[in-house]
Amino acid sequence: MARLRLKNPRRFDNTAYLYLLPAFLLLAVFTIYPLVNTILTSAKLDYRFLTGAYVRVSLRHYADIMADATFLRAVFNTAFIAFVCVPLSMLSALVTALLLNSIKKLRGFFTTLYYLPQVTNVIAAGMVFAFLFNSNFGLVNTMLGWIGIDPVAWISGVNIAKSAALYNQAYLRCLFVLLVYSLWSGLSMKVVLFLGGLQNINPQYYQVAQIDGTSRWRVLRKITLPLLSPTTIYVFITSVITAFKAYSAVVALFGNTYGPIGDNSKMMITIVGYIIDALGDYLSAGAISIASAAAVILLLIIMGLTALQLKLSQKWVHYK
Amino acid sequence: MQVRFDAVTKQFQTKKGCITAVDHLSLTIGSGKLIGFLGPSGCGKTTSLFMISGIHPLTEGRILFDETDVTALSPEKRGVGMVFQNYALYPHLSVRENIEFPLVNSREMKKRLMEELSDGGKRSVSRKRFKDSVAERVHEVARLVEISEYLDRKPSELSGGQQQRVAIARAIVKRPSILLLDEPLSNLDARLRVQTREEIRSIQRRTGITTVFVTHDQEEALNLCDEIAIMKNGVLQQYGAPQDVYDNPANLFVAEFLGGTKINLFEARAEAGIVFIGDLKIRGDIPVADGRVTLGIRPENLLSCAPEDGGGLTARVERLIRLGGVTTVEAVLPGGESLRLMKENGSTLKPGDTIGLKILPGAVCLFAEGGEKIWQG
Repeated sequence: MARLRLKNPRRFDNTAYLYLLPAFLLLAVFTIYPLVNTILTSAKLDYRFLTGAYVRVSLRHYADIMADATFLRAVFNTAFIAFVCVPLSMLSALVTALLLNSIKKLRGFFTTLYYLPQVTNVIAAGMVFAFLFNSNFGLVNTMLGWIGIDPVAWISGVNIAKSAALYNQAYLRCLFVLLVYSLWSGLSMKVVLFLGGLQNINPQYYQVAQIDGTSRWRVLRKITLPLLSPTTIYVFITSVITAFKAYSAVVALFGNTYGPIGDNSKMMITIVGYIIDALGDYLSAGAISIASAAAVILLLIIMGLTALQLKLSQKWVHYK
Repeated sequence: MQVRFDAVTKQFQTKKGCITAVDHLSLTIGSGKLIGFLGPSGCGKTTSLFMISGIHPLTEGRILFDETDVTALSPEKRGVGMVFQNYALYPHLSVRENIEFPLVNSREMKKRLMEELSDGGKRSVSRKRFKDSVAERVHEVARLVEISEYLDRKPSELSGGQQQRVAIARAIVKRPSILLLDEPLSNLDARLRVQTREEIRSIQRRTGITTVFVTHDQEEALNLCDEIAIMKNGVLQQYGAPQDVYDNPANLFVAEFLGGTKINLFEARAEAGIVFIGDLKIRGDIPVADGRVTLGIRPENLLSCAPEDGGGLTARVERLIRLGGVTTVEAVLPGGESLRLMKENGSTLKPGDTIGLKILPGAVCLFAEGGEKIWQG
């Protein structure tokens, strides 16, 4: 590769560094230092936040977390959001975008309508959903009543401590509510992205297919979806990463106990919720280290998934 | 198959109002012919092509294939093959998959293929036999357009000319009765363009498919087509064999649009059956009413001679432009009107020389102020 030749290469280098400095300083202070510090903290046994004292360097906190049922529940719940809610919400967004793309009149109106959840406050929307699913006066139960179905205790956990079966039933109901909420809140951005991707496809491909007498289903499967794959993979990666950082939605739906009323097992906790809970206890020895260790695990999970997705996407994504 | 336009009009509704892209077009394209729609951009030539394919529905009029009215038929029922300007090859499919796409993805096509294979339903056709026959057809057209060795590549790995040939293969693999080409050469460089032009011509000859193509390049149209249709603002100006249209333009637009070196045009006037440029008498005994006319003579129909042999018609040489095999001579008449004529290389003319001019018989065209031709001779 030919080297860039300048009259005064040194001067060029220095100027470039100068321009990069502000961004680099911000990165260093708010990303690189915290990252390194988090990793270090996670390995300090019984680290005390106020004094900075710790017993010794150890990976014991990692072992503790791995053995903590609450953390495992958090991993499971987070994975549920990432691998059940995200694909389902992508599917519904894709269908919505395909429908929107095939209409001419009112497309702008509907697109705006579908985008509204994006500009809605998460906590407020979550509270509305919690209200919708309220056992006594929620809209969902009212509507179920119309067709003769008894009220369902969607997010209230009366009696759940009595048996494992009751607990599991309550858990499934809460997962369902979380799924419905995720579908609704995730739709907006995905619809807009898919719609953009669809409109980027050269209409001539469809004209060729039309002349060839290709059926709609074949056009979708053999032309639209492959040509849309860059958008799909982008939406998937960003949605999964967002899903792994899920926190506020769960708090909005289930409160800061992460579970239905009457539950004290933090039934619906997420990884970020687990980290925040540990941080809330910052005065006790080791709490910060546990939060740090959980954060490092989260980082590793996200990095691993992103690498995997990028690797897989090279196989079946058709960039033009 | 013959294609007939019967008073076809196409209008587009836009935000600014209604635009008439094609205005009462009537035209018959003979079976097995290669014809070109020619005109400047926005003249309605591509719209006409899209109406044959069925992509654009007609606003008014009819289109007939032989005696069948196809006006209301959807594109897939018309059985045409089409090559788009930028080829529109599916980027995610290999060349092979692109070519076989119309065969394996259309119910109509599959049915037709099955019928052929089963001898009209007499024999059953196995999946393998169907696949083999598709592969055979793909190979056949690939050989025809000479892309056999690239079947497993992706379109992005091919040159523009190769992509063009793949697009043609995809269009003819269905054995269409009509092949439509939308500006097929405009994305190629000059040398490739001439080469591909010949290839299209030879593919058309070998397959005998009625072929309609659209171009804005007059040289391309003159070289390639059996017949050309020249359009302007949605209106057909003239339709006929290229040489005939070139020699006998119906109006000023056609005369100006055709020709590598532009036709010489002069402000002239007719008086008592005689046409003058300034004070120079050009032709007499003309049945034309007195008044202002535009006089056109193609450069190759003007011959230079000794000044005294020109019958009073002389010009002064201004500039000699040597272009390959011929030299274009730029000269001015005594009245100041400039003109061009052709001369073989090696002439001894030089700027400042005075030459006589001879006009070949049949070479003078007179156009009225509206542009229509009123006399030629």
